[in-house]
Amino acid sequence: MAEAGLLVLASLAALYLLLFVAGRIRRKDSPKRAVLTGGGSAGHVYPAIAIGRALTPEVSEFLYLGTRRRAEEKVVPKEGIPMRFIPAAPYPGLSPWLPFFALKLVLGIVKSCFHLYFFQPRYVIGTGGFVSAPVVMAAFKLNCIGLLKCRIYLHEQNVAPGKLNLLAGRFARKVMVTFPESLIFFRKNGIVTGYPLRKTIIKEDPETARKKLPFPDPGKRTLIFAFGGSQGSRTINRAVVDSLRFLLPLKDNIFVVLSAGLGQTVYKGIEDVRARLAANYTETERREIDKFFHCDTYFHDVSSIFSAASLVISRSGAGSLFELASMGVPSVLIPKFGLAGEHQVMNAQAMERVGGAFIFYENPMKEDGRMTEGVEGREIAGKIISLVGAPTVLAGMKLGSGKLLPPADPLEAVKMVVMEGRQPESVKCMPFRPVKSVPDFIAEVGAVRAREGRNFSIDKAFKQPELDYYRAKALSLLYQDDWRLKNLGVKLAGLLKLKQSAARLLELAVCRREAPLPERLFGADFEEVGFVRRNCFASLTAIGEWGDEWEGAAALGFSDPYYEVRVEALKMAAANSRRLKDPGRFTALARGLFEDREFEVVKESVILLGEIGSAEEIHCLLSLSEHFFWQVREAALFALRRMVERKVPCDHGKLKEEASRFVLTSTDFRPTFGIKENYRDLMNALGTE
Amino acid sequence: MFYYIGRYLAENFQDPGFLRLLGYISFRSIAAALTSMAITFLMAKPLIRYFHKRQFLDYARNTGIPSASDKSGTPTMGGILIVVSFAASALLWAQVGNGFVILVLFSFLYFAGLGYMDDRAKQSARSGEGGYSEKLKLVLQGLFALGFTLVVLSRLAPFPEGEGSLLYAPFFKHAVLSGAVIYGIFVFLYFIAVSNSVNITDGLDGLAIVPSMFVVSALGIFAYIIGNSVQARYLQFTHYPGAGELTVLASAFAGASLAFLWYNAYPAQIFMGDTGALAIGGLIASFTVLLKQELLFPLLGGLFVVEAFTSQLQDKIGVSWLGRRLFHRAPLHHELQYRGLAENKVVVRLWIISGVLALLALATIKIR
Repeated sequence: MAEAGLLVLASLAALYLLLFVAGRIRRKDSPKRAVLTGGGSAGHVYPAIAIGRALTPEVSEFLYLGTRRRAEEKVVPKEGIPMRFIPAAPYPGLSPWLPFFALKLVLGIVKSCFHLYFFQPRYVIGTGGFVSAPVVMAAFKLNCIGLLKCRIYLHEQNVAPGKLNLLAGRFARKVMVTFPESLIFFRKNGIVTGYPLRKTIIKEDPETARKKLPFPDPGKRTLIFAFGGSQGSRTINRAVVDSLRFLLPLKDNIFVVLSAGLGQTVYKGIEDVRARLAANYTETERREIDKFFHCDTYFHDVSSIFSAASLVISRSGAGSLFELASMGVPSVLIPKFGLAGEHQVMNAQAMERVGGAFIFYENPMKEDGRMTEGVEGREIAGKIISLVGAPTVLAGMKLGSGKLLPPADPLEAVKMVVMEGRQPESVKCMPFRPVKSVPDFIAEVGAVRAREGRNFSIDKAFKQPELDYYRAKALSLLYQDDWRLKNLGVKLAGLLKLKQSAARLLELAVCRREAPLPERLFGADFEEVGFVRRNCFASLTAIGEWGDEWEGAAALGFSDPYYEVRVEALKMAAANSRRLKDPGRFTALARGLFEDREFEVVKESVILLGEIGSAEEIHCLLSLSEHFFWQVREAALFALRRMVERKVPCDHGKLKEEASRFVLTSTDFRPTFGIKENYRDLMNALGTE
Repeated sequence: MFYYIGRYLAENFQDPGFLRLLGYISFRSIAAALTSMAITFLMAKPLIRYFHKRQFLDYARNTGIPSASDKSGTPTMGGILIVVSFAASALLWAQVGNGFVILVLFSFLYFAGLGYMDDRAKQSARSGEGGYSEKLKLVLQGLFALGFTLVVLSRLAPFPEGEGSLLYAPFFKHAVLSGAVIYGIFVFLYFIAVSNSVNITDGLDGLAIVPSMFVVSALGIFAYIIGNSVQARYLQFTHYPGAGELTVLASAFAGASLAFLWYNAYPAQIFMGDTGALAIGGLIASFTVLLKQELLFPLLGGLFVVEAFTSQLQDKIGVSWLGRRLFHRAPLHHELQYRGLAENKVVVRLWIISGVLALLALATIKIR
């Protein structure tokens, strides 16, 4: 047995030695070779290719490692870079798919090891996406055991790093980031290089650029360019088309160009645009529009358009933003909602922070009877009109967007970092807060409110740009199907005192559509679940408006089958007791709830009576003197005091006598700990200095 | 330990009187209870002071109930008191070579260890949400339950031949179910459920410790009967030789609990934390399985069952699925508080209920 073991060990050692020596020989000219990896989506592939270009001619051999059936399979071969495929899969979380993922990861690492060993590159560049995980891990491990001697660099395109780069960052020699904000995620080895653009966009003189435009000469008119990536964006297309109505008066001053999208995927941009134009505008209107609007599927030479444009409307992918920054073009950004880490939102916020852009968040809109997300044409038009009339603002934005750029050209910077190990000129970033998930944000607001107490105002505690995002997010959540998401939206709307959500909240609160049968067997009632209905009332109370629909909703809430909803509806009525148009109706309803089987409902109805009741209700309250629940008796005493405060006419002497008959024994109490109170007072006294 | 010392001395030296006492379960039980009580009292004050110094304070999850927020600042992990005094007393007074004793001690210490890791994780995170995830805890508990089940079904079990895969029910003299696989699955699930139920009950000052004491004491009586050939035959139980040693353990636990209650009563100076709650759960679970009284637990440990049941129902069906509460609050003690009972009143009333249930469970000894 021992001999067999020794034999195995010896052969392994011999194999390793062989590999080691062979590797060294192959490595002789390794500085000429680099492995590029990154994929899953095009946003990772193009920077990888660009970095590859930046490293030539010193690096002459490239190998791209990617996965099949993803963006890189189509794009990379077109660039003439040899490509090999490795198995990879996105991380599925703690789910039954985990073992499959682990298996695929191991296979991917093994295959990468083979490719890396035989290629012996000097540099391994990863740009993100789950495919770079096995490659980077394999490179790191081979480095450790001496079968490879390479330098691993990662590049992060967005402000908020993808999961992969966060994990793999520690394996890399340096992580090159686009935005200085990303440095907080890579404190040890982050470097700001900017975004390596694939095609160098050259800034041209606006006059010359205008002559090269691929569409009829707009003359002296202000050029506005809107685009949504190579495949177009439905939101942008529709928003622009809708805005044309409001821009008609300016047809002699502005010229709008829209890149609708190539239509290679499901969305056929140009057809959507034409259909919308036909549906929403008359013949005469369309003829007028044609005089200042041009639409095409795609524009190859964006340099001249960017140089000539005064304003751009686009999404906020890292690449697009960087192109805008390089050209110094002011922009109106419409970030794509709900992407991982909200990276488009964070990119857009970075541009907004330096003053280079205005952000419009997508809001839920009713379209052909269905709810979609989009931006109102009227709002876009309003912004365009105001900006066109304010050239100083536009000039300021031009300057601002340039601030997003690092001092050195990204391609040069990348080369400096990768090949010479030097640090490009460092950039400071403005203080900012990353976008949080909604539950985290709600928890944070709760914590701040607990600290501030009575002085709390959400507009003072948080900055407006941050709140703008959460307002849009709240509205979007309100129209989700999953009740848990809807619930988050409702809670958020209440915290933000979001008036625009009131209509939807009222709708949800009084919904009476029945839940499906299986759930009803377990205790469910309506399609809009109890928590959602309850929180709607609570949020409506927080928003603090009032109107006829509000009053009607409150009255309906009193008869909701779920007791927590009745409680919140009663609280809403009590909070707005002075605004009630028909207090008599509510008095009757409240008296009716005295017999409710839930004591909390009785308690709240008693409190409501205290606010709106008249002399007749006094004896009702007195009848509760021996109620089983001390909470109800306590509420009755409170309500009687409120009536006295409100100067409801009554015989004080008689009331005193009747009130003294209240049963005052209670089964509960609130403890006060003297030592804790003294401690708190001491801390407060020290804190106010 | 003293048992073995006593026996050795009695065999080799002449003084049988006092040393014979050491052979009796009854004597050793009382001694074990007093010892564990003494150890707890000795350790308590220094331990509480130590915890305050090292800031091992309780970070309760935000339940929204006013009285709960006053508990912040109370040291947790007081379960260490119970664990140490119980283990020490058991090692001193029980026959450590006995299969029953080994299995119960092993369960107790494993779950205590698990609870300790969870408590430490919560300390590092400085929040009630920072402990081990529910999934991880379940996996670790499941691993032990699996091992325990396999031991019970195998020949390593301390039961007589053939008893391992039998399921008994109260009121019935003979086994209700026989079959290794079905019984095995049942015991596995039962173990996990019971070991968690004490943890859920541990929510108010003194709430978990006294009912645990009632349950374990009643089980101690069962152990005595089952381990005594005369009594077992008279009361129509299957006799398991050696099971009587569990009475010593039960008394050790009773002593430790009473001493712990001294400090844990409202307002508490120390909490048992997951260390104590999981350890007690493991103790009760292994006790009932080894005495084959699993089906007695819904009656004897009815409080734990109701607390666990309401808590799971409210969470899994109500809050997570249907989107509304099924009970006003869960577990049971929160519901009682919600209805307007002071914390101390809730605790005492639940003690009374669990005491009555323990008596009812004991009554089933005769009703067969």
